[in-house]
Amino acid sequence: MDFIAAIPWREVGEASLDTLLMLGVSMAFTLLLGLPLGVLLFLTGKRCLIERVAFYNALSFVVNVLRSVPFIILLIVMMPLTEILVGTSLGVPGSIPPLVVGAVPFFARLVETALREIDRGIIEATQAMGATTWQIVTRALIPEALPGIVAAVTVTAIALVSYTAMSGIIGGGGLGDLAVRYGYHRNQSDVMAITVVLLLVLVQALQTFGDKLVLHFTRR
Amino acid sequence: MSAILEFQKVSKSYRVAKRRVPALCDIDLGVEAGEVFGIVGRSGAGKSTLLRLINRLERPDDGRILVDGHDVSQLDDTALRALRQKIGMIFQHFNLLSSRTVAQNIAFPLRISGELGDDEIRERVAALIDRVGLKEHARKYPAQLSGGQKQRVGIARALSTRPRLLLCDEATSALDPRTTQSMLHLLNEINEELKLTIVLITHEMNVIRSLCDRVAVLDEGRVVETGAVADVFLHPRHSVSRRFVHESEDVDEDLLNTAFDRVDGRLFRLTARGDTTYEPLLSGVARECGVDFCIVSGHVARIKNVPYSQIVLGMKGERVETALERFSSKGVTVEALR
Ligand SMILES: Nc1ncnc2c1ncn2[C@@H]1O[C@H](COP(=O)(O)OP(=O)(O)OP(=O)(O)O)[C@@H](O)[C@H]1O
Ligand SMILES: [Mg+2]
Repeated sequence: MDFIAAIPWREVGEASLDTLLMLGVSMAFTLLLGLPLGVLLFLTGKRCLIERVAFYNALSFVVNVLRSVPFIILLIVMMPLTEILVGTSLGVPGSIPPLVVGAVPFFARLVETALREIDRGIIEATQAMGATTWQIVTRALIPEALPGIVAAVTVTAIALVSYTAMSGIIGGGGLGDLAVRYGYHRNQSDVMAITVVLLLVLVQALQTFGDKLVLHFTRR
Repeated sequence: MSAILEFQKVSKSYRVAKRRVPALCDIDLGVEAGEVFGIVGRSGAGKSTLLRLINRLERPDDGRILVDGHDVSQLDDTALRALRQKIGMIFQHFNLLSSRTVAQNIAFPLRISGELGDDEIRERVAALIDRVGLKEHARKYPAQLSGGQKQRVGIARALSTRPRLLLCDEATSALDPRTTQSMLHLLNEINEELKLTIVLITHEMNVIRSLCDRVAVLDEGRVVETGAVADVFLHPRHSVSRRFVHESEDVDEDLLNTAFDRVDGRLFRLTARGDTTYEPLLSGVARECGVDFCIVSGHVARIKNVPYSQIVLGMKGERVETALERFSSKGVTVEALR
């Protein structure tokens, strides 16, 4: 009983909500920016609809650079930019920009890969119908790659969960922040354990839900 | 009749590892409105390339391709899309959208062109589904269909914009013989009902024989022979055409030549077409002219819907020439082989 009483439940609840908020907002921005970027990577790639090798290589390089920076370093490097963008580098708002910048290249690559899985014949058939590139993307490519894109969203969301926990270390709020403050600074390992369990539950839920959606959209 | 499609001195090469590899050389072809035009050739002969030039999925290096008199390479993007919307295309591997149902796949070209409203689309799709015999399958996804059913969807989809020209890239090559026959039958009906011009490519002479009016034989990027299917089939002039015909008839050229060597006397090839095929000419002429004959090889079949027979006879007797004249006068084509 002492054990349960000693846990700052209110704070655990608030931290959980913060994590969900960070996850939701950053995932939304990641989708908004990463999907077009992934499509652009796919379209401009070799032997693709609007092949632009130089452009593709440049874009691909930028994506690779961002992906190769460890997230914890990205957090620190981005602080000035984050302050310009949202006015603070702390708390939930302060953690959104680095989360998005960390996740977008990752997600875009996954989208590109999912699009590459589509049979070239389908693209060709759609072209032969007289579709515009926009129609090919929105009516053929994305619907055909939807299971792959949903799987990419799942993987990205889970990566974001661990990123949010990391951003807690530099005062980003959420469960990671809680774990650092109680588990590390005050040595309350029970709080640490609870945050870990909550994060685990979140990851499990995301994966299960994602898998269900993938299955739902798979017609092959 | 007027040419709906024309190739004028068309050449096309591909760039592979910084080198130009020719795929088509100096192609001249004309396809008349309403006919079924076949292009036959071995793997790598350039058939797909030829077909893809028509709706500019590929661009020629040289020469002109005219569809309805308009040079395809001169079209701007909008005109090109309009042209593509009026050219149907079906594929060896069907290329259906796996995320859409049968009905949605068939409606797809109409949704893209945006020329019809929802109700009209629904009506037209329903009629097409009926036409290709897929009524029970309208709500299924492609993965739930057999190969033959998928190709029927492909055909219905290609017809949905009411094109005047249908391009078929090996449309039956992934299907078993029986399904192939039913597909050829369907294409034939569509050609007749809709007066639709069909250009099809295949490596099987039998597809040409059951469906086409005219044929071009393609070999290593060149047209080596072109003509009415009956002419090319019964009297192939080029060795590549001859080999295709022999293959389709399961004739082994070497064995045939050995057989010829063993026959005493002269050798003639007799070809009868149409009703003549079923007339009892051989025995009658032989009796009248007092000649003896043996049949060395023979074939009776149909080209499109016209029956024909082609036999090689070894003949002996005093009045062989008279017998030959008699055959000719009855409408049988006689060729002396030896
Ligand atoms: N995209 C391409 N890049 C490079 N070479 C190509 C390309 N497409 C075709 N070729 C080459 O052009 C030639 C003709 O190819 P094409 O696909 O037109 O032949 P095909 O007659 O359709 O053969 P198949 O019966 O195997 O389909 C071949 O030598 C092929 O290797
Ligand atoms: Mg081919």
